[in-house]
Amino acid sequence: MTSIEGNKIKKLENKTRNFISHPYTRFVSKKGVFYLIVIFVALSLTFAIPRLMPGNPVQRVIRPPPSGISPEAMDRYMDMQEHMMVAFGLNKSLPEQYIDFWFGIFRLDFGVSYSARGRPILDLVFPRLFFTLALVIPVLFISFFVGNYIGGRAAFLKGKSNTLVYYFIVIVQSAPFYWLALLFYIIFVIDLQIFPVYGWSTPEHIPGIDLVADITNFIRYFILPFSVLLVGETGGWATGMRAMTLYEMDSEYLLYSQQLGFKKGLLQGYAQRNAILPQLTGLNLRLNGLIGQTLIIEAIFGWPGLGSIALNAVNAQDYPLIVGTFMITLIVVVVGNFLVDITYGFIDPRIRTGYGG
Amino acid sequence: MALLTPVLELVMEVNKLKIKGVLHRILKVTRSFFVNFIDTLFYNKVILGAFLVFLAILAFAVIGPEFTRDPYDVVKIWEGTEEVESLIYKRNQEGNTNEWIFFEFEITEMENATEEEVTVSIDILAWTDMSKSVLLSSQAEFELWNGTFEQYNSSQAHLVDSISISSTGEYIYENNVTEIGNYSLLYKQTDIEDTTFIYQVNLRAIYYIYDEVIQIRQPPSPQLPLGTDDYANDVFAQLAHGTRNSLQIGFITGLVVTFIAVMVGSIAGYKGGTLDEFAQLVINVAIVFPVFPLLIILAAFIEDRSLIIVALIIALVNWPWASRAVRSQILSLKERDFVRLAKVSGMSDIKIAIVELLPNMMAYIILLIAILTGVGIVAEAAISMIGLGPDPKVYITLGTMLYWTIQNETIRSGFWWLYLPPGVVLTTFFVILFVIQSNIDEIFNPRLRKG
Repeated sequence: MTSIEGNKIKKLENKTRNFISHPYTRFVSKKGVFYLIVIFVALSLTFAIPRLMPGNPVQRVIRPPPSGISPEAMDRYMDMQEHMMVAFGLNKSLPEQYIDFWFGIFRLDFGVSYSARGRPILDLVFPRLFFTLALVIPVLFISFFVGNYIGGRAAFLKGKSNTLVYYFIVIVQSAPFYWLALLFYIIFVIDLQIFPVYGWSTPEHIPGIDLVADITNFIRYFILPFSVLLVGETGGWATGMRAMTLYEMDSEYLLYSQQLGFKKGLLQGYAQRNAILPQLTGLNLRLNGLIGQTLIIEAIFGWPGLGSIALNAVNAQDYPLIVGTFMITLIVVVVGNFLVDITYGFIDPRIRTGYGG
Repeated sequence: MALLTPVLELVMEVNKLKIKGVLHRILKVTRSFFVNFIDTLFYNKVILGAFLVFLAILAFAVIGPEFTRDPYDVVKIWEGTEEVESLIYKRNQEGNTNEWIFFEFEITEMENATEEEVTVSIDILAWTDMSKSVLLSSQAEFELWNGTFEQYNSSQAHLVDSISISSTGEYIYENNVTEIGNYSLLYKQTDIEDTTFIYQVNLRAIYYIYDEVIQIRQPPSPQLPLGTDDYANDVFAQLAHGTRNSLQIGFITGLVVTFIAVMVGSIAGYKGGTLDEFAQLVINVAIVFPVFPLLIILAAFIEDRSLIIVALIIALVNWPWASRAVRSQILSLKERDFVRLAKVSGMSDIKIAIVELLPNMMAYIILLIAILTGVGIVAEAAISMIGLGPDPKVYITLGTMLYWTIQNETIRSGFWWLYLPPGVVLTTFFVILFVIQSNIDEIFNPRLRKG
């Protein structure tokens, strides 16, 4: 009995030891620690930026009165300022404020918005997250597959249509994404009038009654910002993939297998499998760039994601909301980066098994 | 290659100067970079084209604002709106044939009329006695003098126009009067025997009422090459100033980022050890930060955003990847023999960095400045477009031009001359950037050039 239990425990110990000493576990935990540092620095930065700026932060909300007003009015203003300082915890010392800031984050309390009459920022920002991710995630994956497919083909096949498609994409992705957005807007909204002008829903549409109507309504507004982002991203992947595949095609193992008489499709498979790994490491930077682009595209098309809420907050000078949106964007970026990293580690056999690299 | 001979001769001249030390090295490497670069230009038509387009934009940005009007001027154009005919005077006078008859009149300034556009028309009718039969002879002479009768007599007046006519009946003499002032009209009938006539002169002025019409959203025309915008400002002038300001932001960003990158990258890369690991950690952490959200939050908290502040904000978010690139360059240079030799011979680290490493980095640094300039321009336009760039009411950049087209919804109404020009300039920058980036290896490494 005891020996069986002892064996079980030993097995479990072995398992855990194997698990802990496994290179992939070490890789993931290393990355986890790194991204914890990133989150710590980033959120500390959001604490620091408003406090580093010149001027009393309260004076951004309630403007100081013009000089030469009556002493009573001045007193009232000072009173109000005092109240605001206490309400936002600005009367405490900086270290105390910093500790409060972190406690707030652990309680998922990102403060309250001025412009939305004191509603918690998480309640305002969280629903918007869905809209941003609805753009970012499909664009990231579709552009990755389509772009790499086109790039790989363009490098390998020397057809006229292939090169044509490739160069068309290169030219389109050369245009700044916001300028592309304006062009799409002019062509599809103004000239052809296929898509609606702005926002995310027609005024007549009442959500939650008819599912089909909900979906068609969503797609009609979704397609324009989505395709603008998709075109730019696809071009980026395609150019990178073409360069990588050309580089691989020059390598000796491919020349050798070519001379051995391997089929073209097989060669292409070999070249592209090796070419796609460096592309995967670029996924991180692409994700960061894509989220930034999405915020600006959202603001242009009125898509109600994080970008729109950030821009509205800037226009309304709702500083807690700006900071809150930024913090949540950062958390999304860091989590996304972490996921991409551990996926990469899983796909790359050198990291997964711990040999080589 | 024949085109390059003057350049090469210049290079030989520089060689003769024998400048010693660091300056010499930097000069040598920079020169070899430029010779290499020009070589690449003549080899690769795409790079040559991109380079020439860039020079054209640079020239437009530097010279353009000097020749265009103030971009904040409200453009007004004098426009004739109404034709007015007014009778200045009507007079009867007696006179004989073969004798000059004088009529004096004065053109005064007319309300709402530019002087040069006044047309004077004079009808002369002649009767014998009062029977009112028209008897203007077939031969007559007119002379129009600028000046009064007395000035004419003392020969101070000057002749404006003289004409001989041969017709009978009513005659209308027309002349564009160019100045306001006194005029005398001389008239003589020639071929009839001496008779006394009564002449009637009707002097009329015909002019247009001109108005200064504020030109809002005018389409392109020869006077206004790109038309006007919603505030009646000249779009061409705005484009010239906007390109200049955008380039300024780009250059400041490029210089600042390159400076930071060279500092951080070379110290971290050369020193190695804990310092390098710490620098790498900072760079890796900073690279994870998404650029645009960071730009938005920084811009939102700074209220008076000038060109320089926006350039510094953009520099602040772009330094990590540039530093990483410089660091990797330094790492590969560090292992070269000449650096090791310098180390062995007891040179100090700072001296090695300045004398051995930096001159060999010159080409890379110049290219880094070029790329970061483009990045700065494009990033500025992105944040300006949503109103977070330089204050759009004070500064004109390519981005703020796009910002106003969105704010005023000119895009919806098809005023293409408002949104197309800044977009075209921006796209051109992007294409140049792409060409440079995709041909980097070719510029650095002449061996890659095929054919």
